[in-house]
Amino acid sequence: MLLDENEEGLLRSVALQNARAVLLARERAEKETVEAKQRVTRILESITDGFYALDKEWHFTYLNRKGEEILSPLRRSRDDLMGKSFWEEFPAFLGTDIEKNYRRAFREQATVEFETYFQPLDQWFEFHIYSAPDGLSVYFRDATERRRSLESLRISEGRLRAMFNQAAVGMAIASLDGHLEQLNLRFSQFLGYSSEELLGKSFLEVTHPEDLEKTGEKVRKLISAEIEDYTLEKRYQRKNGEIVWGMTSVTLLKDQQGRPEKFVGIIEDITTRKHAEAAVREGAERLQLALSAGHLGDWSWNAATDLLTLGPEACRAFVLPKSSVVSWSALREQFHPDDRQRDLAAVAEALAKKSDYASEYRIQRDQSVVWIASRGRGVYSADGAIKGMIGVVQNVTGQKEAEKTRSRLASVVESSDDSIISTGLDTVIMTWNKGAERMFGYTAAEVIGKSVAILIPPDSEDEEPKILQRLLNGERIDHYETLRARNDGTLLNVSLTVSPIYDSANNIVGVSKISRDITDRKRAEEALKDERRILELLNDTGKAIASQLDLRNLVQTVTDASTALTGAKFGAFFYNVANEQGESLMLYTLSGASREAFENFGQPRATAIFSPTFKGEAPVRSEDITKDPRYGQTEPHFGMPKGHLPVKSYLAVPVVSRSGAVIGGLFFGHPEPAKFTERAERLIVGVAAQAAIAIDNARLYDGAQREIAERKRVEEALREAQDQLRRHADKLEEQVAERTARLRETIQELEAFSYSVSHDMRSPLRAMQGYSDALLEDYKSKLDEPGQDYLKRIRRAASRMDLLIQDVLAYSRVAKGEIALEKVKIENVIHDVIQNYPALQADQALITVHSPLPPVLGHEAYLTQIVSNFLNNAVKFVSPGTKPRVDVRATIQGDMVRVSFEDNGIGIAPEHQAQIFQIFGRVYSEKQFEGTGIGLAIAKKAAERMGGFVGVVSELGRGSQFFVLLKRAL
Amino acid sequence: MSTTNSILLIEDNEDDVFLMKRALKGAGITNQLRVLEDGQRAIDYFSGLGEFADRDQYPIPAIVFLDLKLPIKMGLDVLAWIRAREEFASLVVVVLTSSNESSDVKRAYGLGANSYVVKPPTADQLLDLAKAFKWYWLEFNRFDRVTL
Repeated sequence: MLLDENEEGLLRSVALQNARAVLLARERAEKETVEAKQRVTRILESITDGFYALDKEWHFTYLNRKGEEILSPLRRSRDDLMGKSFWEEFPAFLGTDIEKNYRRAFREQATVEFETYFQPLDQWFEFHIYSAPDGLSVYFRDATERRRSLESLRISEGRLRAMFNQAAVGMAIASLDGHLEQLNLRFSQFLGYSSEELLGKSFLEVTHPEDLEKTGEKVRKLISAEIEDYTLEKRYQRKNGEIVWGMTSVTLLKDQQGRPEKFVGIIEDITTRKHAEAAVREGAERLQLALSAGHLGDWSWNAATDLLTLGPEACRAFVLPKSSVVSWSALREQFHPDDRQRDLAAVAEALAKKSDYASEYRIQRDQSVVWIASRGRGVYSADGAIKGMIGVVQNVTGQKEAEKTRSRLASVVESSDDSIISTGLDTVIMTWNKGAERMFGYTAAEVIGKSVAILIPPDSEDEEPKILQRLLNGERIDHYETLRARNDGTLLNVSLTVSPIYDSANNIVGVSKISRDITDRKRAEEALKDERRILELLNDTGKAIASQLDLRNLVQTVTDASTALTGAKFGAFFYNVANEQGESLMLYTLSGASREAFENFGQPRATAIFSPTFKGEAPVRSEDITKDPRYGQTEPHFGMPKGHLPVKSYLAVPVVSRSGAVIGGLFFGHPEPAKFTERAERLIVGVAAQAAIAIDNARLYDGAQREIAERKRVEEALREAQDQLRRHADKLEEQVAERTARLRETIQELEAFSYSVSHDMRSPLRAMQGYSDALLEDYKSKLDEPGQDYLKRIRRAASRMDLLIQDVLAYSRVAKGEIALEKVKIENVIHDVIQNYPALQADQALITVHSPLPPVLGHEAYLTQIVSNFLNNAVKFVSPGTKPRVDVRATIQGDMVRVSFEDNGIGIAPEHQAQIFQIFGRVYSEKQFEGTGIGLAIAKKAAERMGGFVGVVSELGRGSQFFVLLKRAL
Repeated sequence: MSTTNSILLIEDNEDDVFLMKRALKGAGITNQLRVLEDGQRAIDYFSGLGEFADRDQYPIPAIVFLDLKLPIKMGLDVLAWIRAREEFASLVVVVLTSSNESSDVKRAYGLGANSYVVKPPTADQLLDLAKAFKWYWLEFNRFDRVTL
């Protein structure tokens, strides 16, 4: 709108600036020189606008030529007007815009511009009034022509509006605060609102929130005149919420003074394009993503500029900032010096031959060297001229390393003892190493391209597909043991490791198989397992045998174990026991077969086959007994009886006792031939030996059991006897206790008795003696000689009776009394005794004590009894007319002292020597020798009570030696 | 209250009493002699019970001849009874018994007998004893007269 005015405005503003300069110049001119004033005047005279100046009394001070010309229709010359009042000269202006503006300009000292219609001239004038304190400068020009064109424009505006409304692009005018004031149909259609709805809305309201900021920024810049206009691709929100893209161009509509007035915007719907772009961008992103994923960097080379534009991944590869643009030669500076020339050559060659460019070079990155591979393809114009090149780069350091590794690995694979092969998913062999050649016997040339099935034994055909399936399921197959066939048909135990082979896209494209021949190991393992089984069995058997003492169970254990050891189908143990009729007894155990299976055949007889076993000869082992020459020689069966379990493999081992007797035999059978190995035979021989010992032991045990039973019986009897004895003893003890009690009673009675004897029995004796004495004294004269003699006899008898009683009492005291032994000087005792008895005095007898006599352990009263008895006897039993002589001596005999009393008496015949120590034991009559016959008994008892004894050594007529042995006192 | 130099013989055996009396007479002992036949009567006598209340008739003797084997109360019981009485502490008691048992001797002295004499078997010996008795006890010995 009014677009042509810009140019005019520009000119005008130039003019205005000129005018300002002129004014200043004039002021200077007035101050300085007239000439300068004249120059200003000349300038003013030359300008195309009318100009006049008024002083503050509104008098004309100047009017230029153009002004004079403009005002000429009013027939006013410059000279006329000079010094004249404006209002007086042009009273028609009073009350018009002119007066109003003049006064305002003067009053406000402002510059005022305005247009006004001047009736007298029928012209439009445009005024520019510059105010100064001493007056006004007024530029004016005829604006009639412009006004007229404006009119014509206004007329065309209608047409424009129609165009506005019907334009193919959206158009809108908005106030500075953004409110839409005018908009066309396309605009409202674009936004999906009706025109009415949109008017009054701010264009910001329909702007997509995310684009508000950038829109606001542009608007701010526009208003602050930083920019003249802007074009934005931005999103709008339609009434229905849809988002549409608009290419929005906005300019600012300014008023006459150049002040911003309105926004004018044109919006082109670019939604479709945007979507297309997005799609493209997405594609590009995807491309970048793909490149990035593959660590591929993209680049393009512009031939015209020789610049390389590098994609992000490429930048990374070269350690350059993102989206770098470098010249090829600059980039090449980074290459390893040795690689630059080669790359240059590669580019040159590609360009020359219009072929693809391919180059690999090293670049130093950080501390390491990186290999880059670059590929490119030329872009040519229609006439074949090179426009540039596009291509990719890739960091191939890993691959380079991998290549090295691969070559190393390849040599490892080739030199491996293991078979390492690879196949496709179709099982076709692709690689075949030396190990495989050795293991399977095929050369690489023979098998590559063939199916791996040739290695698989016929009965494992389905193995390969299964493995393949497991691999495809993502399983790893590690150390899987299976069988494989060599080219010569022999089977191998192999340990197989199967791994998938992936292509670069991570798809499984084949499998690698590493096989190791483990046939030997397998064999060893089998042997070991077998060995272990046998050892366990042997161990178990040994234990079982050793722990079994029951014969039947023992033999069963042996049979079972040895059957298992040999791997026999069935085994048996037969006893080598014959009854009186010479027939074998039906004693056997079986393993692996029911008893019924053998029941009808009877005991094996001493046939050619069996007899070596029953005779305890070498074991019989046959791979096929039916082919043995000894087989089938005996009636009635001539071989196995009908219904016998089939036997081909045969093993029989005798079981021989320690004593050499054959206990029986272990027999094993198997329906298949060659089942029993030499080793099995050896094992069974061992077991048989063990079994023999165990059977011996069991038999011994049986014997021992019987012996034990017998011993038990004896012990039982013994115990019974002991019990009886104990009962007896108990009874005895009872009796003893009873008797002891009785005895004690008796002793007490005896004590009472002896007490009463000593008192009561002696009383009558005393009376007899007393009265006899009294009679003899008081009535002597009245008694004749015989009467007196009778009385004397009574008195003597009473006296003897008293002696007897006293001795008996003495004996009983010695026999019953409790005594304590003490050291006694026997010499003193002897001397006391001698002193107390008149018969022992020196005038009557010659008693010699051969001192010193050692002290003894004894009881003085008892010793006195002994000594007095011995001495009195010694002096008493002498031949008439002989003076008694006694020698007392003592000898030490160990811990005893022997005290002897040797006399010159009548002696005692040996046959009487025992008698004299018994109570009332006398050898001579009382008539011959007085005495109670109790003395020696008392001595004997007394010696015994003191732990000694008495004895006599004597010969009739040769004197006697009485002695006592007493404990020696220390 | 009566004190005499009478002799009390506690003896149940008539023969021994006869022979004792004869021996005492033979020895010329003229002291009044009383005889009691059992231990209980002896205790009654010393207690002054019943007929024995009259001390003129039954005075406390100067010397007691005591047999051990007595009816009702044994001689040692009588001795013990006597020695338990303060008033008879100084009474002269001579045990005259046929027992030669050392246990009897020990017990008699233990209970406070003044002498222990085994009855001699013959009349001559008994006379010797009586003479010795007279000579020692009646001529030399001084009594602490018992006063009641």
